[in-house]
Amino acid sequence: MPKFSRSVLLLAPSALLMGVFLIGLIGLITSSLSIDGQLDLGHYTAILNRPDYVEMLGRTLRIAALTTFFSVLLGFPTAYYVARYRGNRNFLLLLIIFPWLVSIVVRSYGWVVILGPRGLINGFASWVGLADRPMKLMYNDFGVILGLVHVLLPFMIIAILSVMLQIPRSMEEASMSLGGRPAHSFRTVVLPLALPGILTGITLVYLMATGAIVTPLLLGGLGDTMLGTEIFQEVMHFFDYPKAAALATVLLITALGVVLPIQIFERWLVRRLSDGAGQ
Amino acid sequence: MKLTRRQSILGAMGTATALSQPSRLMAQSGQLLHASWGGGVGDTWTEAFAKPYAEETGTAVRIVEVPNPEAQFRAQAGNPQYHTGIGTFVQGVNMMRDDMLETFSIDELPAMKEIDEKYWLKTKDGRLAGITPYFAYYGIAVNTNEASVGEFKSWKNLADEKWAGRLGMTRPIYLSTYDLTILSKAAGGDEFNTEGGLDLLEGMARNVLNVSNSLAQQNTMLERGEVAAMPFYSVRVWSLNEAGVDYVRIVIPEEGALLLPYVVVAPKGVADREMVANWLNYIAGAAPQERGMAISGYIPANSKAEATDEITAKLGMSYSDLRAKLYQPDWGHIAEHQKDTVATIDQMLANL
Repeated sequence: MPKFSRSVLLLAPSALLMGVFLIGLIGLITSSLSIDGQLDLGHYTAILNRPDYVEMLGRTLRIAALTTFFSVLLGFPTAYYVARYRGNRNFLLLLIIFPWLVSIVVRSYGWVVILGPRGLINGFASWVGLADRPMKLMYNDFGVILGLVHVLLPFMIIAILSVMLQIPRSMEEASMSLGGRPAHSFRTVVLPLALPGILTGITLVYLMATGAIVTPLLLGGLGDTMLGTEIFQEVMHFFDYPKAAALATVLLITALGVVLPIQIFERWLVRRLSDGAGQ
Repeated sequence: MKLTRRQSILGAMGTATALSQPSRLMAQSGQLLHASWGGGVGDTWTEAFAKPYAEETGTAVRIVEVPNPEAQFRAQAGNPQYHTGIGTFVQGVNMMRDDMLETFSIDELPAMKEIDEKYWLKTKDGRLAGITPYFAYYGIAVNTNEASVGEFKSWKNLADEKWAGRLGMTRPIYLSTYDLTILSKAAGGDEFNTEGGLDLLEGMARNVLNVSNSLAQQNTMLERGEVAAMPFYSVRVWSLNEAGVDYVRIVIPEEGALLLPYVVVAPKGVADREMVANWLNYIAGAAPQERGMAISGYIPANSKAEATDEITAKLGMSYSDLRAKLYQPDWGHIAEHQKDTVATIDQMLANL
């Protein structure tokens, strides 16, 4: 088979996927701009004129950002440990992806059993006399962020780990043999080389957190609605697809506002690291 | 055997076509497909309605459990895959308004004459757009380990500050149709005048621990005592009681409880129309509704249905006494204004 044909065949699945994705995206945006078959920005003005929607958008972005931050904070050390582990690394990987075998509903609901008013923590606090009334550990932003970090952390770990495994241990050893202390070697060698993985993890987790539905529904409190849950309501209960499309487009644009600069920075960084390696 | 490229492509297309057909073939194979909510509802429909109907008539009815039958009807508008499906009265009104339902004359569904006309889902020209198999009511469910039944004599008690952080509440989509309506009634208004009801709803919302999103979650919160009370469905409390959770009780406050009729509808252009009419007429009858009551506590809509002594004891009163305590609002008005009401409640909750 000629090389050109082989390339076309190999590209066909991704081209098909991209094609379907683009058609869906165009359909989404077109639907959001249409009222009774006419081009109209009515759905967008209606959304932006409702203070609760604007607040909901802000809350969605804030919760996504905090979820991403804590995922990096927990994910990076975990990925580093797994990458440097000398024993059965596959076993650790299995442990990391093990939660994926359980439904997201069950995983989120597990937190109710732990943090709920009659949960383990409140039960213990009451038993030892620390609190006479249950502490509100969930049904608020804290509960949602905790649940989202729990659900999305494996994505962060795997994204970072995929890069970490490419960093030879000899690089750190070379740094230390030249007098660098462990912390210094870590900061100047490991961290910059792992940054592309961290940025990929940030992108993945941030995007998934902005569109989260189940976890905010189960662990969020009164008035803690996120945009994903609102879109879910418009589709599943009101069957108002144009409004849902407008909300989804708003979410997409705001998410791109964060993700695109990250992607540009990542490309610049990878190019810089490649140049450095070349020299 | 070596396949040519053309044979391979044709084979793949044939396979794809065959794989896309089963649901359509099932809908045309002589059995009826009925879309139902899952869990206890699907089981009730299988045991109380579908199986006996198949035994009596030879027509099989397959109960297909889906999260939201209305969503299926809307997604398949113009090309219905189900013969019938169940919904809330509000959903029935909304689908009827969108001209999505097959309509029938009273002569086609004579058993409907045994159901009070106030429970009928009918078009402006008097045709039946669905039948009412049963109803539940919306009262206050109380975990008696956490609070006493006497503390919820009135719907207004839900707004009492002493319950801060101790109540549960459903989402605005249902608050708009159920909670606001009965709270408005309790405040001296009704579904046309909801000002007082909104104030009570705001008071209740301030006491709420969380907004629950599924019946299973609400069940669990009540059962575990995470909340002391919440407005809830009589049939869910019935199921809890039947499962041995006898410390959760349903209360009908002094202002009454909200009557929640359900409807079974057929999508417009449904196949096997005559079979569907026979099935609907059967559902409207007293016997299957009595079986439904025994299984899951849904109160028969058919006036000829009788309660056994055991059911009367469980209900604590007769069907007629119970019906007298229930408030039946104008569901058409509620459905028509639902989106605006949800927006109002959303904004009220955001400003708490």
